[in-house]
Amino acid sequence: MAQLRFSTIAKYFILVVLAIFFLTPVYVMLVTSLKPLDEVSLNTMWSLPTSLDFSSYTHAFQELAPNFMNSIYLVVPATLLSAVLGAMNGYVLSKWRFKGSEFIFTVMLFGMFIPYQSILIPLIQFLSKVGLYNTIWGLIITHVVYGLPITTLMFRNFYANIPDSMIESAQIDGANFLGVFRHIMLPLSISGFVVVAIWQFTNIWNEFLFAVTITNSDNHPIMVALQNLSGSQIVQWNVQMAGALLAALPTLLVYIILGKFFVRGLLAGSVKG
Amino acid sequence: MLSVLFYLPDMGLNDMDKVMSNKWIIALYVLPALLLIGIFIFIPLVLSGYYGFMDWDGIGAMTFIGLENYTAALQDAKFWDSAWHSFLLAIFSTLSLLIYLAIALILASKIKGSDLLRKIYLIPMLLSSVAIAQLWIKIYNPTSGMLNQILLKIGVENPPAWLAETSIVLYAIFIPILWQYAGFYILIYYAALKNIPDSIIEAARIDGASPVQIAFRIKLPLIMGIVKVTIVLAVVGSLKYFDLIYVMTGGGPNGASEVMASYMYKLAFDTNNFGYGSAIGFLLLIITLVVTYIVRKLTATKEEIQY
Repeated sequence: MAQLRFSTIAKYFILVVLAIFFLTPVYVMLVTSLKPLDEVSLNTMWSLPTSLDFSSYTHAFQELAPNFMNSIYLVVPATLLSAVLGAMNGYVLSKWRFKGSEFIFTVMLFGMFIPYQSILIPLIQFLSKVGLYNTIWGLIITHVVYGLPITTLMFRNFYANIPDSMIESAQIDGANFLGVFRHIMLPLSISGFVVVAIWQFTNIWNEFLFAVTITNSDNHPIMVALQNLSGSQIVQWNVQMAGALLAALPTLLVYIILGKFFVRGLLAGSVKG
Repeated sequence: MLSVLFYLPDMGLNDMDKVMSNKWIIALYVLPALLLIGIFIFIPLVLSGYYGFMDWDGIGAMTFIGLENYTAALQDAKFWDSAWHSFLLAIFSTLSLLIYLAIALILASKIKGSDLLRKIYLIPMLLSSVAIAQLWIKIYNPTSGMLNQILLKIGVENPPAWLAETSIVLYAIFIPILWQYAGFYILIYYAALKNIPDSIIEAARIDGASPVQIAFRIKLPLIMGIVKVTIVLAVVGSLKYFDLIYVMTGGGPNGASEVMASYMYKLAFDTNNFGYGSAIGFLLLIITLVVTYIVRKLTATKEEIQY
């Protein structure tokens, strides 16, 4: 019995130390963002602010607001489109396998393995030729395409777990290819959509390389603006940290609202290799 | 589980006809994705390799110079240094998976508060690379950063300037990179472990297996498929890693933290050497694909374990 308790204590010790490792930097970020300018110094970074001061948030918000909206206009359509296309691919590649469908699946997954630096120059060239360089739509399309491998993979694995007997009985009832998709697969894949949507939302919102190379100042998504904010010497640390937290707010909200479905969706088998 | 993946419905003749008449619709469904992938992934890949044969500043005309860029790249010490740094990151990321696996095993062992702890570990995933980079630049600040303040307090004299010393900087950046992704891998392992039916664990326990035996003999083999996927993810992700390096040090000081992706970026977008940058980008692709292939071969097994 004593041994059992020791192992439990050891387990908690490891887990809590790890939690401290994850929380401490976030704590410093949070208290710094709430301090007035004269209290911000690296020497007092641990201490709580003497009074709550939200001025750094208003300052950061003023700086970042236009780019924040750019990111919203980018992330919403890009997430939806890549999820819908991924669902269609996953449905066909799991339930309507045809000659060559395995090959098509491999081709689609290929994008997961390539470094974006290897396509960046021709991609920018192409986007400027078709008038999409330095536009939000150029970024949307890029993110949809480079999101396709993972969304296709997730939906394919998700749909593979739906029994074929359900599809067969729907077919006997007269449902065709599209009917099965609309009436059987879509209603069953809500949690799959949640997992894919959270994944895509977080990745696209936080993405930096495409954002900084495909758009210029006015069209920059928030992450590039955040980076530029820290680059200017005038901006103080409390404003930077407030900006970083503001920029993280949408992903945080998504996780708070949908996080429980995310884990449930993962548990339901959408992480199967 | 796999049987579901490879099971084709046993269809009657009428159903077969229906499928055949639907072939066009089926093609229609994958066609948009295939077209997009062709235009945005495969054509640019080929073009990148092609631009590698050019002398080009990105604006003016291209001049064909044959293999010059590629031979220069193969002899470019800076490129091979950056490749070595990328490999080091891949090794560190892969080894750290062992720690994440151990933590997931503890978390999944019906421990109280595991939900909360798991959420805490996931926090860095929600922060962007840019935010994480800025935060860790402050933590590493040599004179008054959080880390050196702690070190001074516990009596370490002359703690290093983490991001300015060529012998340390690379490892100093590895820490926040691992910090960023740890929660994701822990969550994946946790989900996989929770997917193991209780009945299997229960049966082993009744047979007298110890918790350690259950972990090594039953749980780990059952989630090996996921572990292999994460190894590939960690290696590929490391080889093409860019974000924190670019924001925190830009590859410096003096190339000490340069990785392949940041080196390519610097050549193309900072010095307008688009021809040479394309060649480096193409080599980066080849290296990543070859290593991925090797890792997949190494981790492949003849039969997947089913449950």
